Amino acid sequence: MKEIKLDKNTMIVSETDEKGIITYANSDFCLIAGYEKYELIGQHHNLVRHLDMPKAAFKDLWQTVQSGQIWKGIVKNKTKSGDFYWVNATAYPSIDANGKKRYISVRVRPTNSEISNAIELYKNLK
Amino acid sequence: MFLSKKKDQKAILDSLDILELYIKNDINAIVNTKNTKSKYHKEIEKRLHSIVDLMQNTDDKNLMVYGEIMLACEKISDGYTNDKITSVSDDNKINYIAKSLNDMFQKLNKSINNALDILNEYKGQNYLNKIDSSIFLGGGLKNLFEGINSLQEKITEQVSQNYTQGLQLQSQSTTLTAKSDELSASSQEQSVAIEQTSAAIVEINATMSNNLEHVAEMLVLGTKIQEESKKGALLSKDTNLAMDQITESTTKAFDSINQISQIAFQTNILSLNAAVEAATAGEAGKGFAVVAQEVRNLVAKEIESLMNILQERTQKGKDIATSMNLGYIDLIQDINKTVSLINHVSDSAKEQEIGVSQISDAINQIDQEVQSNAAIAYDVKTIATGNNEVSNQIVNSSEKMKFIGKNEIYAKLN
Repeated sequence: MKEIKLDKNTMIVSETDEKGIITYANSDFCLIAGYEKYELIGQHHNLVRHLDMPKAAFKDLWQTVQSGQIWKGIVKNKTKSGDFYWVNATAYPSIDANGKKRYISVRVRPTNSEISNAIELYKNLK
Repeated sequence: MFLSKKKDQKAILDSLDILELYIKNDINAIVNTKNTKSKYHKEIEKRLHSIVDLMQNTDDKNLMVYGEIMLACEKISDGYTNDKITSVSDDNKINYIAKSLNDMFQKLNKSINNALDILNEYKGQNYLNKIDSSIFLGGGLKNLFEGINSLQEKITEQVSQNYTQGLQLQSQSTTLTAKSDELSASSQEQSVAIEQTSAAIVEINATMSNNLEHVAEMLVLGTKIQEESKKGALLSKDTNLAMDQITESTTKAFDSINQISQIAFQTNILSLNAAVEAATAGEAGKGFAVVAQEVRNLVAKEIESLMNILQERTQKGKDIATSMNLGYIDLIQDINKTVSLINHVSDSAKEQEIGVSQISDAINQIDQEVQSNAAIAYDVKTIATGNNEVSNQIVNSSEKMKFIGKNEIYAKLN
């Protein structure tokens, strides 16, 4: 399983409903994760969750955004073919044009030290 | 003391380096740590941390707006116009961009929904309304909406024309159907009448043939009678001749009877003498006297009267034979006339038969034509009915539609 590296211009953006179902994914998301847009829309966001990630991390993420806060973290995701990629993620709550709650996540390239720190952190959490 | 001052200075410079890396986007976040000792440097470090926090806070808020802008713009490019940027930044420039984008989304969404509503009306065959193209100042979208509106005008024109023509066709085809019904009925009646006529002609033809046979028989009989009467005339001529001969013979007989009468007279005288002689002879002459008396009784008077009767009857027979001969002559003349008349009748009956046969042929031809006309009339009726249905469908489908000028067309054509 090889690592897919994001470059400096990569912007992975996605939108989910309150339950974490993907309502929109941008082109970089599709490019990096190896999915077509229609394959992602309608799926739960944990489609790209990597097994190496501790459940606690996501618990923290959901608790944070549900309480109306911005969540920041380094996340390891898996692609459709089983490869993986690291992201520096910012997830936050928002409302859509109809006033309904939604969650948005913007992911950019993490630094090497961010990745190594995360690996250490998640080792301890597991 | 000097060393610690140097360390503080380095710590401040390191913090600035990190800040520079953050600004250059080489790192994603800064974790503030207190590394200075002196009060002065602590103050600088504190101010630096405050700036870093402010920057990171602003960046986070901006990132929220950026994230939504990125999503909304990509959604638009995928065809979704109903998004809205709801997060707010502290940066008014970013907020203005978000507001402009939101205005754009709203405007696009509203106009596209308006267009969709109108197109849905068109889909339901309601062409009354137009899309509001005034929402755009110009450019492709305004042209697109105006293009749809001109399509609506074209459709209205077309639909009006269909409705007008449909109503005209309906009216005409209703008349055509009625007329073709009449045509079909009358041609069927004609067909029946011609068939009856044809049957009557066949009967007349049969009767004519029968008559002709009878006339032929009459002719044969007439000829036979003619021959027989000729024979009869010849026989009557012979009878006449025979009667002449009889008359002649009777005359001759009469002459002979005269001689007989003279002989009888002399015989009478002789018998008288005999009687006288017998009386003289007495008793002996008595018998002789009887004979003489009987001889005297044999006087030719009776013969004479008989001869008279004969002559009279012979004359009568001759008269009858003569008048018979004359009768035969009349009869033959009459028979000849009759035979000639029969010939005439036969000839004209033959001509009549030819005429009737020609009439029969003509009637048969008319019968065929009338039948084929009846079939055509039936086809015409079927087609007219079909046309009428089509026109009804055209009118019905036009009547289901809503378009400008519809009521005026109906009023004009009804």
